Amino acid sequence: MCGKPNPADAEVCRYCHARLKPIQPGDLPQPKPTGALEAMLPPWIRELRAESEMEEETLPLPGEKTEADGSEGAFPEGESASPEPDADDPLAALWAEEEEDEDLPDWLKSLGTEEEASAVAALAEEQAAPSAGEPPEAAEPKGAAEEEESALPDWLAGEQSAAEAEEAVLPDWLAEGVVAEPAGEPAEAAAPKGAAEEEENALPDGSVGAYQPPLVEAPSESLSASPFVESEELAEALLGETPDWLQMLAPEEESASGEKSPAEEEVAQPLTEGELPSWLEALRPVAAATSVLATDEEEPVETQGPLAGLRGVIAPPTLTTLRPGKVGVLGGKLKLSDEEERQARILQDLIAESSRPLPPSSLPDKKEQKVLRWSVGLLMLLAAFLPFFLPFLRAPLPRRVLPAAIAAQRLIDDVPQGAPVLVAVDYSPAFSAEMEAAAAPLVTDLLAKHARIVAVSTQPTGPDLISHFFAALGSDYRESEHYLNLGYLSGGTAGLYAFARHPRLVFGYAAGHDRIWNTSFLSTIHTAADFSLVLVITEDPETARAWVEQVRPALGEHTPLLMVISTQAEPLVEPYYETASQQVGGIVTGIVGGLAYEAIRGRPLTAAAQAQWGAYSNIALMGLMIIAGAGLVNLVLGWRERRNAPTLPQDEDLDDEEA
Amino acid sequence: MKAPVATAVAMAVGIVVLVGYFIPLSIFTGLRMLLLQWAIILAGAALFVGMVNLSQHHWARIRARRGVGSAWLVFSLWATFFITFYFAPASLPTRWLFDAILLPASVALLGVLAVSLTVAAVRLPRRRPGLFTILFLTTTVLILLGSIGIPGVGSLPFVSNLLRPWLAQVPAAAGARGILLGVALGTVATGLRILLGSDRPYSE
Repeated sequence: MCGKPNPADAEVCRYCHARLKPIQPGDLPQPKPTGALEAMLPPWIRELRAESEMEEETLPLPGEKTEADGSEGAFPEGESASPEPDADDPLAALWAEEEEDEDLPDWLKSLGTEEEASAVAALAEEQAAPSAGEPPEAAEPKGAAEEEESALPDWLAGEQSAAEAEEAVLPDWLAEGVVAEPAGEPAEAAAPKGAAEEEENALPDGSVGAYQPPLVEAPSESLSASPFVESEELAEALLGETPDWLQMLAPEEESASGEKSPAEEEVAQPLTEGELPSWLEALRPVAAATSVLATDEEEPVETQGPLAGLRGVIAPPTLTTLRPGKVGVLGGKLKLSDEEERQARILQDLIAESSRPLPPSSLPDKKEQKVLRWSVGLLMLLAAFLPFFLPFLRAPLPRRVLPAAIAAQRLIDDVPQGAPVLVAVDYSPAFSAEMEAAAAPLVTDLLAKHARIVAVSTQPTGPDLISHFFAALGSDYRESEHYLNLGYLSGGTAGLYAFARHPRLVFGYAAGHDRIWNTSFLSTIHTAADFSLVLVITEDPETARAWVEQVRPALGEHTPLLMVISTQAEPLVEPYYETASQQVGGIVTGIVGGLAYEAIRGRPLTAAAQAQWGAYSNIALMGLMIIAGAGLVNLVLGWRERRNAPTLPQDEDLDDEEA
Repeated sequence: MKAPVATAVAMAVGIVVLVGYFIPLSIFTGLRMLLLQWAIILAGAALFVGMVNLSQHHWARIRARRGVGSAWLVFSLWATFFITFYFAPASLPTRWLFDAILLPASVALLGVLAVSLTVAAVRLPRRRPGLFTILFLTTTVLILLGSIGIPGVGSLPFVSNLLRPWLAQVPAAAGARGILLGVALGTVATGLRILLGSDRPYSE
């Protein structure tokens, strides 16, 4: 390898120790001088060696080749000669045994061949007998192996014979191991077993501790054996190979009687599809287990999925239930127990009961309603008219102090003499009584100041309301002399917006007036801010909001917005006054507000005002007593009826569902 | 073809009026006022259109011989129209119609409404006995009690000066303002929907 020159007979390079002569196939291993290692051997090996030497000396075989013969040339030429057994070499005994085997006498060799032939014949019979179901190739291998062996080259044949010779010197325990080793490959071990055992039995005991060739180098006959041959001897050999410590771990019953427990038998028996073990079957629900167990043998077995192997689990569709183009009735008859049928009947009766109409007793009686309505109406009329005949029933005047009314009185006072004032009569005719009673004191004050009142309305009936309102104040106040009736302002919020900014564009003319903008009422008016005061009389909170949102921004700081509203609009309009910005400068609310305004002014109330207040108070008091008294009675009755009535959805629930 | 044009006109008019609110240019304000004038005239004309529509509906009922009231309605409607149109709104015949028929009828209906509301308040606890019914009736009684003067007693100081104003200005005003805020938001949303063309109340 290194390329340096070496002597011609040198086998190993003396420089790089590489081998110079290649090892040829069939070369026997050369003995090495290992005498120096003899001292390192354990004592038991040395004792074994000494015993073998003693036996060799005491029992010499015929034709034995002894050291005294010194015939080293027994090996044929071309083969490496067997080395002399070296006392220092632990493997020397092996070579000695090989030489002894080869030096056996003819009668002993023939005996060995006869035994081999009988063993091979017996093995052939064994293989032929159970091989009825096996392929014919299982019986062939032996002859084929022999032919293959005969066809081997010389060097390989020599190697094989050497291996056979080496196997022959194996000890008993090792020979059994050789047979047992290919348990996973039974074919390899089955064929040579019989012959090998006989050969091993014929070997002397002194072969213990001799060289053991690797087991993979089995004879070619074993390789040709059928791998599917089962041999009882092999099983026995396997059981015989179980060590003592493992046999002690085996169950006592088995070791004693040889019988297996039921659980072990179940484990030992392979599970087949569709059969559940007893412990798993015990865990299943009873109904399911019985249904499975009670299935008919004719029912199909599931072939796939998690139910594979179970019989009759899923009922197959029959041709009678499948109707193309129609949805068939699935399920058929429902199997119900008596208790289930009874409960289903109860549920059916309950549903039928709930669908029946309610008895008419819970509905209000029309006659009763008519009597109640007439009674309430008559009581209210009585309360309204009684004070005229019974003075002690007249209600005293209110003494409430309303800050919004005080603010309204200040705003009226601030209106200059003869100043233009815009009055919006924006209430419906039904509220005319309340609105006129509340607004009359304020308008009267304005008229007393000779204010140029311009009346307008966003109601279709507004023009007539304006005329009626001023006519109710007194016959002294005439149209176009004390006030100007502009009439109806259409357009809703848009009309209000336009009128507040460009009144001349919105009203080109008024009813009965061709040139209204040339009159003294409107000659100085170009926007709503030119009015000294804007007074809105309305009962509708939406109308009040429209005036605040659309007109108030156009009025500016010098034109206040004053409102006369109905009591029903108070909660919505009052905040416009209560806020810091005071979008509404003052509020007079209903009849009470008008009376409070009169009280602030210190003017005595008229007889009409006192009668109106008395009727209003008495009717309200009567309504209060009716609601409180009759309502309390009805509340008790309603609770009693609801408690006695069956649990049905009430009106509130129905309303919620509708919502 | 009709719907896109109507939508475009409505959106353009709305945008012009809205811009006129925020940009005080003469072109926008003038255009806005012109459009508002049209709206005011159209709103007034709509009353006449509604009157014609109402007459058609009741005329069909008259021809089907299903209502004497419909005949009276149609007769009263057109008689008032022609009298007012002929004699002028401020004339004596027109005022007579208003003072002698319309105003008393309206007031009478309101008086009947008072009786009906009282009867409903009496029946309510029997129909729906519950907490909210009790609350409603209690509030009604307290408001009435604080608004009147009891004969021989006068106004109840605590109820008239404290309880009734508190009920009217705190709980009632709070609820009313909440409703107003909701209405304002709804108005803004409706305006935006019309301006964006997603809502077309003018189309069928």
